[in-house]
Amino acid sequence: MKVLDRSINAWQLGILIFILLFANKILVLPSLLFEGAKMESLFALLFLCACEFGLVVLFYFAKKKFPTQSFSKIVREHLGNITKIMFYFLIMIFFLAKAVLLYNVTYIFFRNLIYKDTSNFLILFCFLPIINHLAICGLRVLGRTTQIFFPIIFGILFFCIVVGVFGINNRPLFFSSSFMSILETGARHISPFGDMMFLFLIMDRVEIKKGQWKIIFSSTAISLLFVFAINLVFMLSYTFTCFMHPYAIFEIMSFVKEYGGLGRIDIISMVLIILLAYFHLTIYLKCFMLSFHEVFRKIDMIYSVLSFNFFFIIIVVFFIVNLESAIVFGQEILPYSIILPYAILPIILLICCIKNKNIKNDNFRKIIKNNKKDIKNMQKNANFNKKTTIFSKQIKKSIFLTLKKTNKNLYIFSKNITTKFKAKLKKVLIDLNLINSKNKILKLKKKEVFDFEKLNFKNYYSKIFMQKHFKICKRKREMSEVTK
Amino acid sequence: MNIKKTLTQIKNQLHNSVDVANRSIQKNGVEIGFVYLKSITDNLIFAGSIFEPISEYEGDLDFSIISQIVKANDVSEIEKKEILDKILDGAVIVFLSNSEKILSVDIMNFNMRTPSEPPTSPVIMGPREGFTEDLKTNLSLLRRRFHSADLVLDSMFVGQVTKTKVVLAYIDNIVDKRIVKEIKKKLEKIKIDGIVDSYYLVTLLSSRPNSILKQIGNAEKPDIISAKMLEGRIAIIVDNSPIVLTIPFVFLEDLQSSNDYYTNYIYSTILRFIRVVAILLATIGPGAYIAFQLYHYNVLPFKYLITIADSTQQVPFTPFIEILFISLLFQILYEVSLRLPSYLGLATSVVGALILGDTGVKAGLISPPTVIVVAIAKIALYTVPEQSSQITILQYIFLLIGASLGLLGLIGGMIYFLAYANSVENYDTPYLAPFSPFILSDNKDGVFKVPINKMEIRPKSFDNQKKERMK
Repeated sequence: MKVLDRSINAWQLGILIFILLFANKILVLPSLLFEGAKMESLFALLFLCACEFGLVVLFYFAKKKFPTQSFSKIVREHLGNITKIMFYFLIMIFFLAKAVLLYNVTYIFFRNLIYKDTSNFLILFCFLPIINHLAICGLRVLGRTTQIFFPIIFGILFFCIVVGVFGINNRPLFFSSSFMSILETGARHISPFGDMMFLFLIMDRVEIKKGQWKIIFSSTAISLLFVFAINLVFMLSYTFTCFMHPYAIFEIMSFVKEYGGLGRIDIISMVLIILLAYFHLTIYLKCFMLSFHEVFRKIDMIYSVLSFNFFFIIIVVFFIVNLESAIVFGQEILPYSIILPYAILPIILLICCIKNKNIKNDNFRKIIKNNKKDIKNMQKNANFNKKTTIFSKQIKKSIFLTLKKTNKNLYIFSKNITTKFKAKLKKVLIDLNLINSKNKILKLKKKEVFDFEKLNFKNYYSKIFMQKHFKICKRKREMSEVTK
Repeated sequence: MNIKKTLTQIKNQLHNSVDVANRSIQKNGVEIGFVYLKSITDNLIFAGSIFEPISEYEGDLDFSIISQIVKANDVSEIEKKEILDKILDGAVIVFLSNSEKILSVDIMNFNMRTPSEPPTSPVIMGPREGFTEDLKTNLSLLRRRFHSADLVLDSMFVGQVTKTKVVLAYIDNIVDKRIVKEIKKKLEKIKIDGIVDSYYLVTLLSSRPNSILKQIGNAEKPDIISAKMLEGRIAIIVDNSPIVLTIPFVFLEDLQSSNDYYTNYIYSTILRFIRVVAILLATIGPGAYIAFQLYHYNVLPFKYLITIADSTQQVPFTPFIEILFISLLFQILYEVSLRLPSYLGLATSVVGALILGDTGVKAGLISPPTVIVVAIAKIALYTVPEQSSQITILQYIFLLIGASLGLLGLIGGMIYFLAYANSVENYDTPYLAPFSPFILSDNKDGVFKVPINKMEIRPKSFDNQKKERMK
C-alpha cells in the first residue's frame, strides 16, 4: 500500500485547524475545569486558548521565514540530525498520547450513552480502519473530506451553542476561586491544548498564497471562540451540578424545553462528537506518521501506521480502560508533554531564526538526481556563451527554474535570492505568457522559449537544466526589465 | 486483371458468406466485375447508380470513364489491401479486366432507427432527439449544433475483430490537448477482440477500472453532449452505440439534468437540492433506520418509538433480515419488470405491491415502517438514474454497517467512502469537485444554479484552454 501525500491549500488548512481545535476540549474538559476553579476557570481557558492561538502565530512567522522548507529540515540544518530525531520522537509520543486520551474519552461517552456496555474492540473496529484509510490516503484527501463535512460540523456547533443558550438557568458567579486555584486548574488541564503543533509537521505541504493568512487566523479565532462559548454555556447551564454532567456538548442539548416538540435533539450533538472523533484521531495519526517518518527515515511510512495501531491498541486495551484512568492520564501524565509545543518548539524556532542558514531545497536535489544522466550527456555537448551580461553583473546569484510535472506549477528555487527579484522574474515570465499570475505554466508543456543564455548561472547544473527545458528567448527587452 | 479469379479470391476471403454478391459483365470486350455485401449496401442504388450507367454506356470503357459515369458521391481509387475493409464498410468494388486499378463506390445503406427521444433522459421542454446506433447520424447531430471549424472529429478503430470506429469529438480551442492525447494513447493501447458498445470503453479508459465509482460520463442526447463539449470535455462516440461517453467526469454531472437548463433557475436549484436529499436517503436511509432501531432507540422521540415497537412486535424476523427481505423483493420485481414485456408489467406491479407487500404486512411477516423506509429509499434511488447502480451497492453496504455497528459505523462508513471518492482523480479531475476541493465559480452550476448570464467562466474542476465563456 502506498501512502499518498500532497499539499493542501489555505482553505483546507483552515478547516483542519477549525476541527482540530475542538479535540478534547468540548466533551469532558468544561466539567473538569469548573470543578477546579468554578466560573473563574474561564480565565484559565481564555489563557490556554491564547496560547493555542500563539502557536498559529508562531507558525505564521516560521512559514514567512522558511516558506518552502519542511520543519524537520530546518531543525536538522540548524541543530543537527540527532536533535531532530529526538525532537520528532517526542512529537511522535505526544500525538500518540493525545490520540489515546481522545479515544478513551470518546469511547467512554459511547459506552455510557449510545452503545451500552459495548466492548472496546467493537469501537476500535469502527475507528481504526477509517482513520488508517484516511491517513494513508494523504493530507490532500483528508483536507478535501473535511471540506465536505465542514458545513455540517459548523452548522451543528452553531446550533448546539444557540440551543444551549436557551437552556441557561443561572447567572455567572465570579470571585469564588483564588488566583492560585485558577493557575492550578489551568496547569492541570493543559493536556487538551498544544494540538496546533501539527501545523509545523505539515509546514512544507501547505500552499498559502498572499492574503490567505487571514483564513488561517480567522478559522483559529472562530474555533477558539466556539470552544469558549460551549464552555461558557455549559457552565451557566449546570452551575451547581457540573460534576454530574461530564459530557458538555451532549449535555447542553439534553434538556432544552423550547425544542421539546422536536423530540430528542441531542442526537445532533452525538453526530458531531462522532464526526469530530474520526477527524481528530486521523489528524493525530497523520502527525504520528509524519514524525515517525522523520525518526525512521529508511522505514516505509506504512509501518508508521502499523506501529500506531499496535501501540494504540495495547494502551487502550490494557492500560487506560475507564474514564477515571483516562482523566488521571490526562491530568497527571500528559500535562508534562505540553512542554513540547509551548517551550521546546518556540526555542528551536528562535535558534533557527538566529542562525538563519540557507537551506537547499529538497526538490532541487531530487531534480538534479533524476536528471544526472541527461546532465552528463549535455555536459559533453554543451557550448555555453561565457559573455557576462548586465543581468548577471547585477544579480550575481544562481537561479534555478524548473517544471514540476505533477501540478504544472513553476517554482523558482534559488540560492541567496531576494523576494523582490523573484517577483520581478515572475513578472517577466507572466509578460512572456509563460506562466499566469498563479504560477501555473501556460506554454511550457513542450520545451519552450526562455532566455537562459542571458542568465549567468554560477550553478552549472542549473544552467544545463535550464537549457534542457527552455530555449533561447527572442525578446531581450523584457528580460532586461528584470535588471532594472 | 483476371476478374473471375479476383472475385473468387474475395469471396473465399469472406468465407463464402451468404450476403456476398459478385457479378461480372462483358462490355465492348472489357470484363467488369462487381463485389459488395448485400446486407449493408443499397441494392437499388447499386442498380441505378453503378450497374445501369456502366451497362448502358456505348463507348470504350476504361478506369477513368467508369469513375466519371458512376452516379455516387464517394468514388475513389483504392489499393488491393484496402479491398476487404471497403467491402466491409458497405462499398461496391469495381474491377476492370483492362486495368489494374480498383474502384470503390460507397453506397452503404442499412436500416437504422431515426433519432428519437431516449428513454433515459426525457425532457418536458427542450430538444427531444437522441443519438442512434448509426455513427454518421450521431456525427451529423453534433455537426448541426456547431457551425464552427473548431469542432474536431478524430476517428480511430478499436477492436481487432470488430474494428469498431471510435470518434473523439472536441472543440479545438477549448479542450485541454493533454487530455485528448491521453485518451488517444489509451485507445491505441487497447488490445481487445471487439467493442460491441461504448460501455466496453468505460472500464478501459478509467484510471481505476475496479472502482465502484462511475468515472466516465455518458449521455444519449446531443444537446447534453454539446453543452459538455463547450465546457471543455471530450466526447467519445462509438459506432453502433447510442450512448456517447464524456471525459473528464465529475460526480456533479449526474446531479444535473438537461431539464435544469430549460426551466427557471430557482426551480432547478430546488430540484437539485431534492436530488441531493434523495441520494442521501437512498444511500444511508435503510442503514440509518436499522441503526436507530437496533442501537439508538433511546434517542428516538417517544411517540415514534411506540409506533415502531407496536408495528414490529409481531414480526418474526430481526430488523436486518426484514429490511433485507423487502429490498431483495424490490430488486426481484425490478428485474422482472425490466425483462418482461410491457403488457405484463401491470400484472407484476399488482403481484408485487398488493399481494406481496400488503399481504406480507397483514400476515405479520413485515412491518409497515420498514416497507415505507425501503420504498422511500428505492424511489429516491431513481431521482439520479445514472448513479442508481452505484447507490444500490452502497445502500446494501450501509445497511450492513448500520445493522452491525450503528451510527458510529455509519458515519465512519460515510467518511471512508467520501475519502475514497476524494482520492479518485480521473484525468487529473477531482471526482467530487467542485464540492471538495471547493471551487466557488463551479458551484454556480452545482447544487445551486444561477442564471446562464452569470455563468461567465468554464468549469475550473478540470483543465481547459479558455476559461472565459461569456463577455
